[in-house]
Amino acid sequence: MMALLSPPAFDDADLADVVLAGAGDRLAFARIVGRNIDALIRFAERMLGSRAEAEDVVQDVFLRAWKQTANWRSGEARFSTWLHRVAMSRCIDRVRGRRETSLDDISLLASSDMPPDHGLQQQSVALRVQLALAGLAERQRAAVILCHYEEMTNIEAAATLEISVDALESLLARGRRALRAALLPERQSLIGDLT
Amino acid sequence: MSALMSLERFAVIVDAYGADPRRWPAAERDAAQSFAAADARAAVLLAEALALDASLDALPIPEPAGAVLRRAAMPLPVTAHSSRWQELLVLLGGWRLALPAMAVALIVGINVGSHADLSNWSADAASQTQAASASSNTLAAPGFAESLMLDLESSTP
Repeated sequence: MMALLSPPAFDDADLADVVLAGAGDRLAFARIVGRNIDALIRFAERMLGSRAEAEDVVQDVFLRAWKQTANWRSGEARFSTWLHRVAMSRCIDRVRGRRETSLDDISLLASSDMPPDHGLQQQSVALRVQLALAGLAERQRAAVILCHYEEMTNIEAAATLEISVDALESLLARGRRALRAALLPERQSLIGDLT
Repeated sequence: MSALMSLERFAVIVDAYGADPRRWPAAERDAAQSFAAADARAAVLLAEALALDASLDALPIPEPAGAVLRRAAMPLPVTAHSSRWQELLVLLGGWRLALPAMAVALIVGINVGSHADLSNWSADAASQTQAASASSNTLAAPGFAESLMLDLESSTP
């Protein structure tokens, strides 16, 4: 049941289509998919280091989103924030599932999809960065991806992670420090490769 | 303006968000930029953060979603919120695993089914044809199934 008693405190580009999709409008839902799918696939692929797994996660997110539209309560968060939240949760489940089934992230990442036009040196640098990201705690990784790569505002990222902005800054700082430490021995090499 | 920003707060911002002011909190961006321009200690912090930013930017941008995924992300058009088949698809491992599995099952099923059915059908049809010709003893032209059976019988060693 949809209740729009007061306008939300923020703009939500998806809100009108969420209302329509909640009443069964598939075209409205297609617009929601179109607006959000690329950001979600980027986020999931960086979280998981695997395109195939990221696509499965995104498909699952939209399946859940279709059901959620009928029950969506506006004003609490943007719909896109909620989509990212679900994607993050699914990604974390998969990362933990890999550990439980003793599949290590390293082997998966080593075979991850690098664009063929990425030069060997660039691939090597990118792989080192990806491994460093994979070594972070899941929520630190999510925070870095949301703020650095997706360039979410601190308020959006904190809402996605369901934490305060102070807690987000703490997660980010710890994550970036860990990344710096992981990449420090190769800093010169990285700089050399990139120049 | 820089008086509004302490070195400690500037360090926290750069530590968390990196060297690019576009990623800094909007409410503090101007003050932080003014501080960076006015205080030499900011340069050291920014240089350290910039090196990490550059490393992170070496990761390629993932490709946009393709048409297949865009279709797979859509709900099935059965009823507004009835998606049991889609749930089953996800349970089976998503379209990536479920579709090839269903295709293999279909092919195997057709092969097994056609062989089993043909042998049964040929036996049934032969007995029916023989029974029909014996009982009616007519000279009517055989139908398609009957002519197929006659061909099969004539080719049987």
